[in-house]
Amino acid sequence: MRRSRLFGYAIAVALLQVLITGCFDRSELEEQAFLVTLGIDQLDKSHVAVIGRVAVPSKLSGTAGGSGGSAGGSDFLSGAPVVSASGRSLHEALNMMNTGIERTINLSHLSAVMFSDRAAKAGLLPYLHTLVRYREFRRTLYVFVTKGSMSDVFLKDQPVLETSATRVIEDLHETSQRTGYATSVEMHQLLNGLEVPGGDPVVPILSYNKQVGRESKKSSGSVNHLDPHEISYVPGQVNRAGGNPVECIGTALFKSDHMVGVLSGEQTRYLQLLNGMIGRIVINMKSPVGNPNYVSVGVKYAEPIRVSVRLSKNPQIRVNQSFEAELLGDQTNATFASDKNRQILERALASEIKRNEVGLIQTVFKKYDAEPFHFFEYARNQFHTYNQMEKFNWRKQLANAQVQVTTSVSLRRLGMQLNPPVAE
Amino acid sequence: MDEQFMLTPEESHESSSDDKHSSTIRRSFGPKRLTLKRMRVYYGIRTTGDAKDDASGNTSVVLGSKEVKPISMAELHEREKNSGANGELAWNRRLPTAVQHDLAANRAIIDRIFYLPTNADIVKRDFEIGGEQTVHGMIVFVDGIADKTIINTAILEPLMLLSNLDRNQLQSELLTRVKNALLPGNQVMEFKTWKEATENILAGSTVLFLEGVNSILSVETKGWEHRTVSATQTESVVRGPHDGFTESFRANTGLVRSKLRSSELITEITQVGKLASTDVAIMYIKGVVNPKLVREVKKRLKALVVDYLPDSGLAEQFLEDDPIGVIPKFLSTERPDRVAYGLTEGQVAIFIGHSPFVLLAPVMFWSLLHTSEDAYLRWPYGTFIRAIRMLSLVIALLLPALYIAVTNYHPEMIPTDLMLAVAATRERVPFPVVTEVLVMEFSIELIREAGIRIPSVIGPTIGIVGALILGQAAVAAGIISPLLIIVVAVTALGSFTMPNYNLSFSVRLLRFGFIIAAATFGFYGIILGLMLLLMHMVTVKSFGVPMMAPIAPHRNSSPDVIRRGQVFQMETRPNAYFPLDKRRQKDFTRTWSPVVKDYKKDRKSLFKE
Amino acid sequence: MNYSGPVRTGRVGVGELTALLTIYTATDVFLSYPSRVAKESAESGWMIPLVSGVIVLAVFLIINACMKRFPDENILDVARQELTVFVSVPLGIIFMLLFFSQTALVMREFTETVITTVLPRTPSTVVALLFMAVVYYFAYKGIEGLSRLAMLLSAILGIGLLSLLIMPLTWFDVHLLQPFWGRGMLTTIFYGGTNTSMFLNVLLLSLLYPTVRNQRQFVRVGVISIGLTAVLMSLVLIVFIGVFPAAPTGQVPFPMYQLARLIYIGRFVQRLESVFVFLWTAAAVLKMGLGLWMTAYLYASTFKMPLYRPLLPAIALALYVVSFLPPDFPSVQLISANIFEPYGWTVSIALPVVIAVVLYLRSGRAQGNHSKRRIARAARAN
Repeated sequence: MRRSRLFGYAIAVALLQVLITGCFDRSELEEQAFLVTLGIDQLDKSHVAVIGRVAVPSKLSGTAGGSGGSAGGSDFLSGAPVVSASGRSLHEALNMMNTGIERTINLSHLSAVMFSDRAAKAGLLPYLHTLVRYREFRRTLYVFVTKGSMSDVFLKDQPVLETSATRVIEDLHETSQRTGYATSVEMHQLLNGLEVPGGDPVVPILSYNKQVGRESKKSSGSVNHLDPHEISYVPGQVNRAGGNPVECIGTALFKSDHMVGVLSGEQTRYLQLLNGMIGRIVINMKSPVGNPNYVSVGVKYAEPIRVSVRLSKNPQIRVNQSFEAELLGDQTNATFASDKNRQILERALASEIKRNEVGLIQTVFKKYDAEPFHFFEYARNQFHTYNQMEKFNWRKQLANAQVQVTTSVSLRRLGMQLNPPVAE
Repeated sequence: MDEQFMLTPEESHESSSDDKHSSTIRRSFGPKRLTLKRMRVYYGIRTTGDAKDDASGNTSVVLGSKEVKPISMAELHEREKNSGANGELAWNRRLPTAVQHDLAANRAIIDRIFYLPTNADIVKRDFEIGGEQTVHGMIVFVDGIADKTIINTAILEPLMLLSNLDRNQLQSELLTRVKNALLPGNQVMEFKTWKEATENILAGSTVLFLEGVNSILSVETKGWEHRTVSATQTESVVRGPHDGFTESFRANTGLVRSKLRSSELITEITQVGKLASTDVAIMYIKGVVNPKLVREVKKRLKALVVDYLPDSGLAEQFLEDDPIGVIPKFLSTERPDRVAYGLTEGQVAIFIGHSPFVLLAPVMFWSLLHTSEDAYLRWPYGTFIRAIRMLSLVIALLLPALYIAVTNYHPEMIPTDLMLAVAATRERVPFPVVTEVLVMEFSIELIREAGIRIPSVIGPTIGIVGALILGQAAVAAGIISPLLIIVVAVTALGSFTMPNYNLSFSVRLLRFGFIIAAATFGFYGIILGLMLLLMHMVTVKSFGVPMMAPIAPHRNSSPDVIRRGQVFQMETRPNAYFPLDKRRQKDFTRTWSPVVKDYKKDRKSLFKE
Repeated sequence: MNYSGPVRTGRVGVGELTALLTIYTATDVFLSYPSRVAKESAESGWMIPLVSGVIVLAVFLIINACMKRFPDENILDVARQELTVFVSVPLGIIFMLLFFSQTALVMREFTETVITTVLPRTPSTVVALLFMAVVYYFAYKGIEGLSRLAMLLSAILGIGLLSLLIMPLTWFDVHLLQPFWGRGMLTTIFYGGTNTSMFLNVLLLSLLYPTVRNQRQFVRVGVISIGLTAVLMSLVLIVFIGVFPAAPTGQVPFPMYQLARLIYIGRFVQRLESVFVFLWTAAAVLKMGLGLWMTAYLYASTFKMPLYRPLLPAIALALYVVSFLPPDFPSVQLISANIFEPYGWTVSIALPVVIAVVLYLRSGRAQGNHSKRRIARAARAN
């Protein structure tokens, strides 16, 4: 009895000690500053600049005095102010940044990491190594490359609807998956792109659209600001007015961890179609039948893409795609209810896709020497062991690769109307 | 005390103590057989006592060695005074255990037992049984717990007015005649010892003494004021019977018996308590319950030597297997239907005195989470409310702890917008989250306790006060974040869903443990705490049955643990109770159903091959 | 009577023991085991547990066939009776040391995992101390409690593990499992052989034989627990290798944790790794509880002590101290990879089977002697 009481006291004292000295990791929410987006820029060879957007709880969630609908971007900026600092390493820069923020910086709610094109061209690996090791970064962060000044992208960001900076990023991911004009890449995919033998990563581009930025607040969104002749898929030069001056279009092409080029929005769609990142795109093309005008067709995979690779000095890559299409809109007077017209359109669509894809592959392979399509994946089963595979140098043979693309399209649905309405 | 021989009409002596202290010589004389007994006597008082002090060897050799001579009371008095026992009379020293022949002696003993006339509750009524030759008699009862009308009309009236006794009848015949012909009471029992007499008097019966008869007749006249059977206070259901046990021992056993009309249902009644005895009944179904279990229950009850056992709540604490730990090891219920069903599953019910809560043992942890309504509803509904209850158990136990862990240790877990919303509400709050939670939990406990203690007249105010203080004012004052109010309120709701009062207590206590664990080590603390709790729960036993059965340890059972299965699938009783009769219904109780018919046909053809 | 009888343990059910053994062995999945195996065998890493499983299963069946002659006794007791204490005592000590060192290692590895993943600023001593307290309680409650808890948790752990394997499947790429043979068929088989060290099922079973309530179903316990463990490990490796292209390089020290961090199913279901801390803490506590209990039980059993509980405080303290001997986390992993894995199987697999076969042959020669013994035992039981 006495012994057990003694034992009890011992345990109580030990517990007390733990309780008193405990709470090592405890930190209240209101003692932390949560960064929602983080930008990494390279100032010179040995200096890193870090720019971050801090979520201010009392302003963001709209609890305190949310006088709803007060228009505009200045609100967004005050709800999520931007800070930046420089240092010799990421962590040093972050610590420097913290000298100007009262609360401890916490990165666990980060939703995106952005690299400036300057940093991307110099190579991402040094940053990635840090990011992967540190537990507050996670592999599900969205990754972007900013074109032009990074500060513009941070400071002039004026979401049309969103007030929450995290949601903006998630929305970008959603929309880019729907339109296909930009890839949506998470850290894990970026790292995979680097780690997979014989493949390269791609990263979407965020850019500041000067045309939109120039607009005055009063006339923002006016048609008059649009260039009457231009359609551009180039990041930062999309012909539009109003909305957010920061746009997400185009893809940064990497060779290993170095950015080597930029793909336009249109090219991005075919890139994604080829590497399987999206399954559906909308194609606009001149109609092969009827009035010389445009048709819009939604195209999606009818069956998964089939790629066969023959490994040799001049590797042969056969890409076999079969799509099904839905007529979304046509500005011609042709009727696609007839078999003949439909087949003509199908063939035209197939050759359009093929033309774009072959063009893209040639450019990427020959000009940039990059492999964002991950065709090598399909050849992995031809190796017996990992060591054989590692020895095989796929990249060296890229330039000599012969690519053969076969596409077939079947137009399955015509939308809500079979024939165009007849104008009497 | 003296040894003496005495001629008494023959009686059958079953009790072994009688045989030990008296040897009987039978002689036939006259029409009656009389028996010469040697016994220790004072003033004709026979002690069949099991007293150890004089049960020594010298008693056995007395036969024939001493002259037998009746002595008078005065002489005995004198002798006793001189016997050196501090001048005390024999009956002051130790009361005889048997009822005496002599009415005066019995009266004296009654006075002595109940401290008359100091004690005003006990009523002694002397009377004469009618006829020309009257027989003196006396009834004794406790005022207030015996029904006066019964006494007047069913005891006194027939005996005094309507009877005619032959005084020369022998005492045993006298008693039999009174019992068989004169007492219209519905329950009349004959007893011989003072212990039984006292207990019967105290239990509300009326005890009848007759001159020259060394037995008593106990007439059941229980009739005290108690609450009538009414709706249950703590275990209300929508679908199902609403009656609950009340503060009457017999009414309670009757309630169960009325629901479970079986000759196999056995109610064994004993008394516990040295100072004041409490009726304790154990009820079980012979042939279903495991006899070892009944033996164990009896063993534990027998070991329960206390002066007074007021309620089943105390008995529970005396009888439970492992006193350390927070899990209740009995199912204490107010519902007769619950008890009846438990008995058919092989449990034993323990009724303690007039407690309106009956204990069912052994119990599995899962039954603490069940209500009888689960079974009365169709299986999808039953399963649904059980799922809700399981969820609410987790919520009641862990939600505040999880809130603390998430906000203090793992803010990344919740979506950013939610996190920011929480953070925004906390901007003005001066306390750390733990303090905030503890303050709120404490206030909830206050409201809860106050709600029970508050006089029912001003009861409704508690809701208003509570809601105002906790809801509006605390938030407005900026002490508490509004989100936390939701957390605490949901937690409170969760703990109110616990169908068992004891279980909700254990949940409330454990919640504070988890709050502290979460505050010091976040998820890690919660998990370690949870593992300790689970380990405790799987090793804890209720009357030898592991409480987490039938899941851990795994036992075969009908689908009635976490989900409520279809009732026609529940062919077996819970195996964890080790019932003698494992099956409770036929394999096929829906033989008329075409599905079952087809199935049986298929099975038959299958077995033929 | 000289023989004091076995240590009192309580008896366990078939399902419970299966759950306990499965959890005990499969818990390695939460530590660095998948990473190590993926490094050893690259893409074919998922075959290794299966290969090990088959080998272990064969060994188990051999042992079972041999030990059938000695019902109600574990391999140590039989060895003591048939081969004298000069064999049984060293044997018991070796087994005990295996469990002791394994538990110490797992404890350190687990402590480091907790610190790296959820409590970065908490001192390791505190984390380990808390952990030890729970493990001590678990070991104190003995195999009865452990097995029941394993049974209770098996459903939760199973669902948790499956969801942990299913949710990251958004990242899954079949091509990462090619080339099929990884680093080559022979390498795969070789490592499959050495990785039998992870399967302590056989040893545990041959030691826990008398605690099983229904000994006829003993084979079922072995086969199911070994098979289930192998399949679970294999599934984990498939997902791990299919999600992380870097898996073959062994760069991912906490594979399951990394998998949990990868979960991203929409805005709301993400960043769930803290929830899954539940899984590995629960599993690790069970594993270590059994490890500590086994150590104490073996010690008591070897030296014919009637109780094991008085030994627990000393062993727990020793465990705590020994677990802090390696200076850092990488060296812990190195010990795991360079000592336990290549050589552990000699004790966990080879030794029991050798002993069992020797016992079988001896008792076969002295069949009469054996039946005499059985009568004596029956008499003792009465």
